[in-house]
Amino acid sequence: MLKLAVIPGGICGGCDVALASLGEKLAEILKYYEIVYWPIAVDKKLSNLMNMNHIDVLIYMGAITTEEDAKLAKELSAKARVRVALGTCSVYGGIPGLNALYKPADIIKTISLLVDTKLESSALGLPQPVQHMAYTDVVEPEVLAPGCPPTDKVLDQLTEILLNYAKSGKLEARTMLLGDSESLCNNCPRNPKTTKIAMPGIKRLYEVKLDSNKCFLEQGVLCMGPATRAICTHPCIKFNYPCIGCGGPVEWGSDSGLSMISTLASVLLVDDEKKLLEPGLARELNKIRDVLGTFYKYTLRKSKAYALKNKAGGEG
Amino acid sequence: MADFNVVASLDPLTLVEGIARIVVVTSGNEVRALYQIMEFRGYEKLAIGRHVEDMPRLMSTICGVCSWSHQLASGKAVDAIFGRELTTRAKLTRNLVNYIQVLDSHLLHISFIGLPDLALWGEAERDIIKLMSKNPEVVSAALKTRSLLKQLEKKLVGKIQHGPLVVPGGVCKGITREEIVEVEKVLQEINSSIELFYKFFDERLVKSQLFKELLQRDEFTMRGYSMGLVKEGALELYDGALRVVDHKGRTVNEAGNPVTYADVIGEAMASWNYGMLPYYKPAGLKLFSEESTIFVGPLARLNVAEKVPGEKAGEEYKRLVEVAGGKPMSNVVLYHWARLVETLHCIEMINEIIRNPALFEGDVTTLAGESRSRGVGIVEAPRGILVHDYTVNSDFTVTKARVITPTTINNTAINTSLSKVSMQLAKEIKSAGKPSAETVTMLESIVRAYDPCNSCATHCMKIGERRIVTSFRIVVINEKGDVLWQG
Amino acid sequence: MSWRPKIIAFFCRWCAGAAAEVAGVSRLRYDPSVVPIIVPCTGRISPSMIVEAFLNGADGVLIGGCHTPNDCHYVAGNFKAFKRVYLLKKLLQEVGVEPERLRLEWISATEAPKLVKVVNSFVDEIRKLGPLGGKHA
Repeated sequence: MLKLAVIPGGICGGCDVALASLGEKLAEILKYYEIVYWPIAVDKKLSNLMNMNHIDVLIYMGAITTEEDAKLAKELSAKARVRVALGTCSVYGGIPGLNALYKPADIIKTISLLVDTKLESSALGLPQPVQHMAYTDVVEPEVLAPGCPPTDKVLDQLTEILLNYAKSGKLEARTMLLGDSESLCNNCPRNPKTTKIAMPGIKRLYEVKLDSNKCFLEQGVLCMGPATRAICTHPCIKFNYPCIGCGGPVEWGSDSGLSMISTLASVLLVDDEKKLLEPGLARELNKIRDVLGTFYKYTLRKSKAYALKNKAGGEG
Repeated sequence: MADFNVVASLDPLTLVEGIARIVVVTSGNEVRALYQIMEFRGYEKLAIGRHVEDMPRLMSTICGVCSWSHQLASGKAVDAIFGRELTTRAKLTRNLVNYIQVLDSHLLHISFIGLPDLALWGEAERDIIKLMSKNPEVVSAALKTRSLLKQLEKKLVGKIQHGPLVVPGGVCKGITREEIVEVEKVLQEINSSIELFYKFFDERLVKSQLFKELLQRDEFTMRGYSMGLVKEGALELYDGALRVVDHKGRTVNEAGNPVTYADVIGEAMASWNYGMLPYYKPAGLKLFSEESTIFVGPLARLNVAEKVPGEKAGEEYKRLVEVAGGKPMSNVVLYHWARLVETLHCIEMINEIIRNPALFEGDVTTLAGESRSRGVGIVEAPRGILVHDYTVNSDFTVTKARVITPTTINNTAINTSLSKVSMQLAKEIKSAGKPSAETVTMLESIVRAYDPCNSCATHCMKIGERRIVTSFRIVVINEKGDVLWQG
Repeated sequence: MSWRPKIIAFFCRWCAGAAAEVAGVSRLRYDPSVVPIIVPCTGRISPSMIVEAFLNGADGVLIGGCHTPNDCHYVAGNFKAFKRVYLLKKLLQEVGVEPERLRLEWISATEAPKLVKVVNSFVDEIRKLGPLGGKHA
């Protein structure tokens, strides 16, 4: 039996639920793997895991939010043969990664301004928060399995990889980003009728009644589909909600926010540019009041925008 | 004001397993049992600067178990900011999802935590696998029901968590008659499971000697303020007035305008807990004392409501109150029963909604309304009152966000309840150096009754052997931080 | 110690790029801190090229393209560049980088003197702002 450990960092529990809902696939995996650690599922102590010489497969879910998370992730990953980043928090930092711009002290300060009373401190210890990181910021995993939560498509591929590894002892590549290597737009069920998408302006979600058939961009609604990896079968778009990018960029190392900015420029008011000129286009672009939150809901921590923030040395 | 007199230091690395733990601090003769939430979040910060219409999706990721509740509370706050009144169809759709959320979460708790906790009282392992060996039919029904509900969510809304639903002034898509056919099928299956749970609960627990004993134990009493939503006096999970009832059953607050929550709920911040310690504001903060403790969730809801809609649920509610010896009910063991009453209520309400033709007709979004700079949304999440409060500037980006979750509110209640075990703990630690098995059971049961979700880790499902574990640990330390004992 | 800014300039070959050639032939001098890169059209400049320039040591990025509305050799590449730069400037602001470090100018092939003026004024501006991140390399 191979050893499988599931390690949670800062999580919401969604990835646990997704993994636990694998059902028969999980049963198949458990024919080859023994779960040596998974807090919500098996009652095994962390100390046992720390004492093990090696782990065959380590699945890390959630983000790194405390010093203890980071220490544990590094130490345990060092003895794992295959490391899997499961879920968008683990791969890209996720939605809580929007906080990567701030120091923990600033976050605590913001929260403390909301409360009525502050109690004098006692010395009972709490884990020390660190500036928000993805698992991929401390380790270079072999398998990257994005999604919030990871989709059936991604979990199917992961199951395949784990079973193959159990049988052959080999991985197909050094780094594997799960999902399909194309943008979500490619197989979109809305399938714009025109050969050219023209976005008629920018409409924020509060300004519009969503049309349930038309391409969102053609409705003036921002949809991350063009810049997002095809990890799913369009559940949000089918439920009449634009893609908000939980799958991350199309290729590992690329930047979905910058890709989307590029796309937006290519489709926004393309037939009216010479009429509107720069001031007219600027007026429309000004409707986006929050660039980072619009283009990087899930991936800010791993983005070039974040790298630039670090380079500029600006602080929260 | 100081949080407590016993100053002790505990290396946070000691058993950082799980997201919460019970720490028993001893100093001389003084002993204090504390419930410590160790998870660091910060959604109030990341919300700032965001387009407010993005909040429902962003904030739903606060929790993977009650994702829909967050989305709905957030959505109500956003509706309020745009001054929009929902169409009947949109309201029914949101209500439907809310009932499914509460039902799903309650069933998770009842089957994986509630039933094992009570049915296996006094045994070393009180988890679902043990229950499986004794009562396989109940456990397999529970597992099946859960997976049915997950399927249902996927069919209806596309995703089981963090999915799309809320847009300002409505929902992005209505549900169709074809989709509802599936819902009806699943509901029928769920109905039969629930009956099984009910019978089991009734025969094995309610009628047992143990239950009578537990109802008498002082450690399980909570005489704080019950808080919940009511609509015309009846139990309401999505859209009612915020009512507070004191331990004598007197209504001390009832407010239709959600913005006034801040007059009722005060929050204290302590450096030993990443969870806040809320309190009943008019009473002033009296830490670890029932005089200012609020509790929320199923038991509190049934305390504030005068009646429970739904035929079966209504009858069962009356029976519960009778066994409890009247209202307000103040024994936290009754949380489990209250949860069962609410599952009946949810099923009856879902049945009512899917039979309402208005669910399938008309607009799902309205754009009309007069906007304002602040919006507060309150819903009843499975574990109780959930508040989202946003302030925006003129371009509708968020300048301030505040979220109060039911587990945060009950954080104080749990700590107040635990403090009732302090005397017993002091005695045992003095004589034996560690708490007795019975006291450990007691501590765990108190925490489990409230069903905290700080910690989706307290909702623990054992996959391999299919069992549940308590992923919160108990640590006993002295004032120097030496670990005297850990469970 | 004197610090010399590093500036990357993306010039469209049909206009600003040609103007830079003319400037060279006409022996007009402009500040050597600028490294010009000639591209087929400003519409070809992706946001990541600009951000990568900053990440790899540039203190400023200058883009020279064809006049709007009608000069673009490819009809409307310049408008695409305008929209990208406009959004990127907002992004720079949000991550704490002065948006002035990114500048877009329309310069035709015949405007060599304008090109020199633009380059020199941009270099001055970046000098005033200092190195990106505040550290002298």
